Amino acid sequence: MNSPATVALPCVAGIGLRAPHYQEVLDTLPKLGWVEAHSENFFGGGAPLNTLLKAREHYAVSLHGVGMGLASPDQLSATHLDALKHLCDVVQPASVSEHLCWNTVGGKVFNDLLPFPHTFAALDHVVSRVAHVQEVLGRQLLVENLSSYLSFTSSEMSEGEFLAELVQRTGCGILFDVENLYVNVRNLGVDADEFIRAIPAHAVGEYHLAGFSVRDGCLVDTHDHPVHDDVWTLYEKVLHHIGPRPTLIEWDGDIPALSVLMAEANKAQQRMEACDECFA
Amino acid sequence: MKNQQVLSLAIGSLLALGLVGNAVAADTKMEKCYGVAKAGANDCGSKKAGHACAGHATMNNDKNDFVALPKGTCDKLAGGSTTEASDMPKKGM
Amino acid sequence: MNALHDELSVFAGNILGAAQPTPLFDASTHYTTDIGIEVYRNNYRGNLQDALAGAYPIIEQLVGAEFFRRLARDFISLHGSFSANLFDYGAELSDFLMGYAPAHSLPYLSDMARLEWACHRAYFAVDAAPLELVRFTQVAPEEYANLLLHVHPACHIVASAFPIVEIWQAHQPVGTFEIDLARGGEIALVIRQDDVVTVRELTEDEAHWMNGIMQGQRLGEATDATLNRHPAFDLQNTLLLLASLGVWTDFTLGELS
Repeated sequence: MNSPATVALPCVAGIGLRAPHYQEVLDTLPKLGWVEAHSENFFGGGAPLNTLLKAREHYAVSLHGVGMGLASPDQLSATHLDALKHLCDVVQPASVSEHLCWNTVGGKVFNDLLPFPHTFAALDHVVSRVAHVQEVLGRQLLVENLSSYLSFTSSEMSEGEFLAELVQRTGCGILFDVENLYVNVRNLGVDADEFIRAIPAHAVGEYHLAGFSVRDGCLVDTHDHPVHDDVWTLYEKVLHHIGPRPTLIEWDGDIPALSVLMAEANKAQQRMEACDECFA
Repeated sequence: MKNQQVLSLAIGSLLALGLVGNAVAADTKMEKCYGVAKAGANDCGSKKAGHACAGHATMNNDKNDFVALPKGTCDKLAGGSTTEASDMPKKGM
Repeated sequence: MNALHDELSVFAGNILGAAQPTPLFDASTHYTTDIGIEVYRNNYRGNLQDALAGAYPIIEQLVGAEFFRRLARDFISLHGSFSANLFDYGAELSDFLMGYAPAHSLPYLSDMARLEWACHRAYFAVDAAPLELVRFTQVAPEEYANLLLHVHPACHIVASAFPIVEIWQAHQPVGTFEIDLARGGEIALVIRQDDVVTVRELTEDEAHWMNGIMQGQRLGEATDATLNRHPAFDLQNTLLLLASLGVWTDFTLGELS
């Protein structure tokens, strides 16, 4: 099952496609490497889906889910998975990803990306669910490492080890969110080098970069700032160890002008190209 | 069915409309909304508390201890703020 | 999976504020566990509050941002989320507002919420192509009474004792506030055309007939019922109007009566 990530995204920098930029993007068709959109925003039909389909005519699209709750103790929502399957059938995305998190227990849904203990039992649980999702979708899923504000005493392995096992047993890929790792390093004392070593480089299909904010000493993954200098530094390190991959600039709060996003993407692009040179 | 003629006339006119290519003038009295994109509600859910999500309602100021009165466009409706709700007729249908 | 279920149930209780912090978590060196939990609490409430504001922009304008925040918090404390799609959150706001004492002075608010929710659902309804009207040539006139007309999934009817269509229109970009609440009730038809959600007023007889059709009555049945109650009902104009709005997507034939 150790096949490389089958991601058809171009290996360049892309941006998150968000509502305030829909019109400008479709009107001006700026030079963007690719775009990523949150799957749940396009469930159903009408204007949202048609807007995405128009963008799809010009850009490779990555569908990034926020609601599957791969680690939720409750049964996987068939309705949710069906909706994602339908969206994938219509959009034919270059990549489909979800987060390594939970969101539902006892029928209660928390519309958030919540951490869970990295135990062997949880691994078995997540393995079976990722396998099921991949079977229904008929394609590989990229699973993203989480930013966390709490860590569980009952964890039996690191998140990196958990992801490595998940890849080994399901053939899924990894969406490596560099900023999430940085947040965990600062908040929880996670060892960045251990994470980078633990995950199989061949399985990494995409990187995420974003900005955070700080509340009461806690780094909160708010996606409302430029990428922090420390995160750029960590990204350069990751590029050297794992290699260039399609890289996304995520910005979800206080969304700036499209040109600002594109400039951030360009910074990532320059680092990828510099890395290409050092590999050559 | 006692209204066969009514049905025949009505469907007949639909058919006639179809034959000329469904060309019906748009209803000009209608207001449109959501022509622009709704913000992606799941963007915030995706990632933690955009400023609006995490930035307010901290432990200390989250108590439900203020008494706010509705203060918005309701003030622009004639009789828009009435205390005689119980006298209002029941909803139809 | 019992251990995972149990730990996450406790964590869920922490987020909802019902339980005390537990020894589930390792301490961060930079902040207390309470602060970590508080970030999750804020995320939970903030995400739901933003979802409500997105679904109910006119309610927020009517009562103002400060009152809306309080209203949202009171609603969220009673209504959890049952969908991982935040666009599904908030269906019960209209019912909630009916009994919400702080908004007692705005009796139309509940009906406006019902109209806004209908618009919200219409925006995300699945697509359906309009019916090709020439297909009626396939139906013999004596079968017309048995026609079951299929309605676009975005189509909703909302009736109120208040002028909700006028209030709705006043909050559109070109709207004006010349509304007298004493004017009486209005019935709103919500539809979606070319990806744009629109609201227009229906007369009482149009709405009576359309409700029958949407409940699955056959054309003859619905028309008889409406003509009995509203003898002046104009079926031809109503059918044409709704066709022009893209309401009809298909038809089938019901059992012969």
